[in-house]
Amino acid sequence: MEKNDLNYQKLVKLLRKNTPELENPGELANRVIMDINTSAASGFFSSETYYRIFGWTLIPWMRTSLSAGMVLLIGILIFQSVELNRKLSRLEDRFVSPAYNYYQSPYSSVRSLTKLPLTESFPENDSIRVSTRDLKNLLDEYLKLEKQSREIPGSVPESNNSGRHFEKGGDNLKPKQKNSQI
Amino acid sequence: MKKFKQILRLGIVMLLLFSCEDPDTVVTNYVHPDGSVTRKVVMKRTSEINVPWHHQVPVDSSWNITKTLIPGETDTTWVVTAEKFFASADEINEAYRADSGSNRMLVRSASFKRSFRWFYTFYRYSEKVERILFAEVKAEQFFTQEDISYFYMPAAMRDSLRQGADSLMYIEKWALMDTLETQYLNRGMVEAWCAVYLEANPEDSAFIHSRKELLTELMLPEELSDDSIFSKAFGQDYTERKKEYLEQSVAEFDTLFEKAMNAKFYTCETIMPGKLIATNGFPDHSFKVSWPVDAKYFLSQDYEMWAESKTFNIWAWMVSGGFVLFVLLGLVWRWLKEKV
Repeated sequence: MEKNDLNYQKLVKLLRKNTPELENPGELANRVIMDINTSAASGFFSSETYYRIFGWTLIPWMRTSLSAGMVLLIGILIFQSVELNRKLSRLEDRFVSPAYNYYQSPYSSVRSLTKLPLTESFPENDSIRVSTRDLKNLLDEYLKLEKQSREIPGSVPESNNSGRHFEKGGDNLKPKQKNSQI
Repeated sequence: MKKFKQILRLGIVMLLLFSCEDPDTVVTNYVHPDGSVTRKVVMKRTSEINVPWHHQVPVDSSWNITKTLIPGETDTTWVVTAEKFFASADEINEAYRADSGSNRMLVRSASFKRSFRWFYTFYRYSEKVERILFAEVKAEQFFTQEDISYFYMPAAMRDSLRQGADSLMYIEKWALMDTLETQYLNRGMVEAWCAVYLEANPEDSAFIHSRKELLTELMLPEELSDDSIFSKAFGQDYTERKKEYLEQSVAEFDTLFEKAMNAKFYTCETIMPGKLIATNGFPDHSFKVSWPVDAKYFLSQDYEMWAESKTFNIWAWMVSGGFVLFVLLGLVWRWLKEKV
């Protein structure tokens, strides 16, 4: 037993004298750090909760079906939007207003108004400017008031040329000619 | 045979004008998403309107009727407003079938259709008046696509255009339209008369059909003379030979045409649920669609007044958005997982 103990101690001494030498200790440290990160990341994506929620993506037929469903929904939405736009553009042509002949539709009114040559209505050096939105609001409010006042018997004389009341306003907003505005 | 000319002379005028005796009637349908319709009939006249009146549309004591007098500078206007809730278009159809008013001879029907299309729900409401004469002549054969919209345009809108900008252009346009309308109505009547006549004389089909154009031309007001139209169109011999059949067919045609003569004008309006997307009527800025209901529109072809609208299905948008997001996130998760 004593002999064995002596041999063991000799071996330990020998091993202590010959310590291992690393050729590139920095690289080892980096690899250890990277492995730790990878392990953490892999834990995030492989956590049970996410597997439960998105586990279907690992099943090919479910992945295909749900993706196809998504594409189908988007396709239906695009188709319906295109179809609606087509119908609405046709509908625009049918809008008529007894009050203003040039005020064709709620959709085209803004377009019509943006075509108003405001610079022709105002002198070049005039500092007053009216935005398209304000002008549209003004016209809308006017139409609304006119409609309300018509409901009050005798308040406004029946006239098909109600649009002309606006013309007779006599302020700077008065259009020069209806035809020239369009 | 002179009766045929009288029918033509009076008939066309009666079709193009409407009686001042009848109250100015506007029927407004407030269509609800569930297919029920609140129907409002407003009648105006400068003399008293007695209720029950021989209304252009069926109105009876079950309606909520109110009378108003609007004093004017010269005349007082009597306004009768009748309102009723119909649970469905079928109830309106029942009312049409039981109609005893001045337009009872017209075959009218209403229909409502709701289509669920996931993102939107579409609604279609229509009122149809079946043609009076059984021979069909399409207005498209006589009017261009542009003229068609003028042909069906409500009178108030026509007047507005006549008195607004480019009035001269519109006045000229309507002069042309009057001629086209007369030609169209004449053609409808010729076709109807031919159908009546050929029932008794089928062997003359080819001959009669070959003279239809000529007969239509001869029916124009400026061509109408004291001479027999039939003599001019078919020749003296044929007319003499078939005099009995011709007279009989004119009598039959007269009975048929009386329906058109008695049809009373009114304006139909519809307010759809949701946003209006399509119609063959004339919408205004409050999205109320108008159609004139006049015999000339349904003399020779069915007249359908339809409007379509849509409403958003908010829950469908939310479900769809959630689903698309879920699938996209799943695919991204898988892609990241594979990359790692």
